[in-house]
Amino acid sequence: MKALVALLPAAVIAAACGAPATSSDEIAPVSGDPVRGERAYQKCYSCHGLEPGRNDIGGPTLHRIVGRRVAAEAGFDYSPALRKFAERSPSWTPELLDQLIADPEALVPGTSMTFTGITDEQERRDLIAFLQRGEPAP
Amino acid sequence: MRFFRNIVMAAAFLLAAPACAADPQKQQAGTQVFELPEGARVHDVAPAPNGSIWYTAQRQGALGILDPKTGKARQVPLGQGSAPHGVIQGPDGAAWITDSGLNAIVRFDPRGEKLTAWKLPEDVGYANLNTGAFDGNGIYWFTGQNGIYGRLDPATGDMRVFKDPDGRGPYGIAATPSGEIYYVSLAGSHLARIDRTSGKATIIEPPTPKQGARRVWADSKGNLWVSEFNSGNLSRYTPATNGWKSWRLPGAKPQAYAVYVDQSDMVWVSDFGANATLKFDPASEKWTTYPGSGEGANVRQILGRPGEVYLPESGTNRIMVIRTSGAA
Repeated sequence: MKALVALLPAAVIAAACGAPATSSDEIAPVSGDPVRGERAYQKCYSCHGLEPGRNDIGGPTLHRIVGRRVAAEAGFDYSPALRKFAERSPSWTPELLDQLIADPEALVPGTSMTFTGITDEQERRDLIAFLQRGEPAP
Repeated sequence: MRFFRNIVMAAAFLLAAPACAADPQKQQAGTQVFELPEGARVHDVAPAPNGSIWYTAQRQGALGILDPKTGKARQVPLGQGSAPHGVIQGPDGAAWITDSGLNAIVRFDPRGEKLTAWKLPEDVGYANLNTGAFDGNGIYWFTGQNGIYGRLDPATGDMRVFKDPDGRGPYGIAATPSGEIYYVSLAGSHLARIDRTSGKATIIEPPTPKQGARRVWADSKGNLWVSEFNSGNLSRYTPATNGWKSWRLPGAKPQAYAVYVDQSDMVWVSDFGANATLKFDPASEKWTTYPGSGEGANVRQILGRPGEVYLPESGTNRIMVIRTSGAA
């Protein structure tokens, strides 16, 4: 976690100053490998699409998730736990996404996500790099 | 199809913890609630031998064994990286587990407490294994939410994997009394019947588009009951007529998650929107509500045995048992 945070100073500083990023364009690129990250995305694939507005498969779309506002995807019914989380963490910074992917239940107790997390830090970094790249689903 | 059958190990007990009954004030008549070891995050449950209950401790990579008589639970670790989703009892009396973390089917034999794992073929990739069911010939069928379903012959270890016609989404799976296999797709919003000889799946479209069919169960007549997460409907498919009938769950914003039909053909369905599990009587079309034992109980699967229905509460990390002989 510390290593990833160190790679993301812009995002962390922005969040700390109360100025959360509002789009992936404003966040420094994550130093992961998006090609490997696409493989890691297979662990998200069953519940999360990459297409804009694809919110009918269990989880909300991950389209432009990096920097997106938390629990704000129109057309998806978020859990009370995530809506409450959004009150204190308004945007998905890379750091927050890293924490979520590492252990969803630890970051958002009561989340409706069933995924138990990715323990490998490099794999998480690769996944976030892939998501930040924002390419459409293959 | 190559298979792996070499992960056989004596099961050690990771955790042995007393499971206490929760606050009796919260309990409804005919129900009992058991706390599970902290952090287990129960996902699915199944009847186990000698009156005990198996559960998947998804977050701790273990199979749990709860003794309702004593309230004690212990957990058997399934291996590094394990994240078990589904568990059922097979005709052999063993626990059969769909382990998404191991990308394998795992068998736990309570006699000798041995584990055997069959990994999915490498070329399948990560399948996000979900749920399993045995057909009338003793073949184990399973779903993988990344877009596959498959079969495993326990006698030979032969495993075959097939692609769902619609891609991602295969979730709940069930056998009918005659031994046929059906599964549903959450992302594909369909029911499917598997030809057990060829392995081919034939899609059966429910009447409501994008309804989010999440789980399925059969009643004693071979009708299929489907819980629709997106539409909030409970639907019944009658194979003999190809007919459908749907009932919207009561409440403002129902999200039907799990479904199970008990030996009396009462239909049990969990509703995330209402934080409750409902019993539906198809004859009278009446609902009976069983609130979750705490906020966000999130019952993701339901199973039972004659006289008992088990509700694994992933959100509270408890198992609620409903004794149906005394239930409303």
